[in-house]
Amino acid sequence: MNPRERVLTALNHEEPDRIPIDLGSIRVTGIHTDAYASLLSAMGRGSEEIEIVDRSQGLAGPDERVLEALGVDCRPVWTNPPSGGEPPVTQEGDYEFYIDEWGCRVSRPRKSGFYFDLTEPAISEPSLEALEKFVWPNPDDPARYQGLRARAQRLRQETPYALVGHCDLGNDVLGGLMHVRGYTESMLDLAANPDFAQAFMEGAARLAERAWGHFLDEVGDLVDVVAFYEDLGMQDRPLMSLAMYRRLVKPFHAQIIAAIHRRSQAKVLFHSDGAVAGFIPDLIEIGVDILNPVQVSAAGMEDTAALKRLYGKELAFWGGACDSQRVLPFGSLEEVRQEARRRIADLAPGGGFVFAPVHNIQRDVSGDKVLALYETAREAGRYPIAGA
Amino acid sequence: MDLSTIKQRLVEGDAQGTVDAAREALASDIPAEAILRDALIPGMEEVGDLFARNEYFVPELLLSARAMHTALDVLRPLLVGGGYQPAGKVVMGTVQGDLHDIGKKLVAIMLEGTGFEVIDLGTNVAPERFVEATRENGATLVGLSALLTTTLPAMEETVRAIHQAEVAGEVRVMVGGAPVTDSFARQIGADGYAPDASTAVALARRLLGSTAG
Repeated sequence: MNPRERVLTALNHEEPDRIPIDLGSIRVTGIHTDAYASLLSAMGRGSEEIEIVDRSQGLAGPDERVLEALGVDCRPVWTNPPSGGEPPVTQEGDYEFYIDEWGCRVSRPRKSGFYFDLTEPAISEPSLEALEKFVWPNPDDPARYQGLRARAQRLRQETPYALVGHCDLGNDVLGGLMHVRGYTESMLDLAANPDFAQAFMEGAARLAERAWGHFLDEVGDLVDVVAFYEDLGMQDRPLMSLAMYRRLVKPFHAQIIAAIHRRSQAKVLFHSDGAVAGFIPDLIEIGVDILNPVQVSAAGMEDTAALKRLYGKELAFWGGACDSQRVLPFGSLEEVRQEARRRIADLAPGGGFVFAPVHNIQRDVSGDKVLALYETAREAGRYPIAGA
Repeated sequence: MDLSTIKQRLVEGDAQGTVDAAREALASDIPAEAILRDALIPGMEEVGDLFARNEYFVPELLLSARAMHTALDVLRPLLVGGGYQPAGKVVMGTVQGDLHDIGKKLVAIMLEGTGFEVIDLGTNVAPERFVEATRENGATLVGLSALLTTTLPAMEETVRAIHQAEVAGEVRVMVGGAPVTDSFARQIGADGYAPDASTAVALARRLLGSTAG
């Protein structure tokens, strides 16, 4: 069974030879450059030039030798930056920052900062007039999709891996509102200015659908999975009530996911961190095939056996094999192994599980832990699953 | 206009309605302090309970907080004139290196809503800035927030800086945020840990009670 067959078998809810493994095939199963340097050293490799694939999250692009050694079964297909490239980073006072293509300022503290986060949203007044003046990113920019088909074709013909597609402008309906308005302000908008919030999300959904159209015209027949990123959860609860989700946000998710399914056979992966268990039946209903991640440290997400029992027949889980907030950074090697074995036993039986930790491997995770984690995947992930 | 109407409108998140009702109450000689103590604070406590029971979510909580702030803008000049004392002064911020805001804001809202005065320093706050602000404002409680596992060391450094400063002894430190645990809080010498906004209010009351005692 080759890696692609392994992934497809699992996503079709059948048991392959072992659980498929991911590192870095989606934006949130990656590895920070510092952790990657530590991993290289744990693998006996010296200091090497490390490619950065995601500036805001500081993610490394793991090389083929690493991916093969860890047993990673999928590879990403990313859209390109827009024409004009990535915006330049400016140093100012205690921060470095850039203005992203949504017109938002994102900054990284120069002291103890490792990530770029939103510091100045683009829309300061939640009015329809302000929205009319808002300059949206351009989903029709051909630079974004240039060379995509050739790249995907080469991966498909020359490698045995499953391909995961990403469309930079195809995501974040609610996340987009949170980005252009600020986290707190956007949450207030949903309650106080629903007309504005809805009008923005309508625009964001139209943009996403358009971007997916271009993307899938290029590679819709070549990708096995496409990833859709959104934000619906906090640590201890969803961002909003299920009723509000259904009224204000879900129709846009349904619209985008239906558009993807119309144009491609690829499975749709829905990413949201946090406590989203209560939204799962609705996500299944609108055509989500895969949930990423199972954030096991969030409220209602801890009992992975129950989630599998309730939803595992219709929904596959991608990520959730190791808690990223406590166990992976602060646990011992043995605790990392134990956690991974437990999650595999809960989530892997019957297929429908792709192994990855809950989130990106952050900079405070040592290379030997990463090795232990992926070794556990290869060993404890052999079917039939022991202890299941 | 009775106080229960003010409270009700606050819980519903009706800013204009809350202010109108508060103005009517003032016009009928109900003192500003009574409106705060017997309508706004119990209203925000009820909002906190609804939030704790997952009947309210962040949007509804923020809507009520906005109503509270709008009403407080009207009451504040009268409260100051009347010699009103807040339940305590709390300096809050997200620690250095961390730009995450919303968790800390929710705690600040619940503290303000239950009668504390909150000085919110924002995000990426250096340890010395916490110390300065505590001193400048005469605060007796500091709340530290972090979302990133990578900024937990900055939280530890900040607790140390506060304990070492001259304000030590009178100032209590409480910590929270997604990666923070009770045992981590103890390990870094914080006086308390709260997993969520409602618990933070109870913790603040307990910590300030113990300072006074």
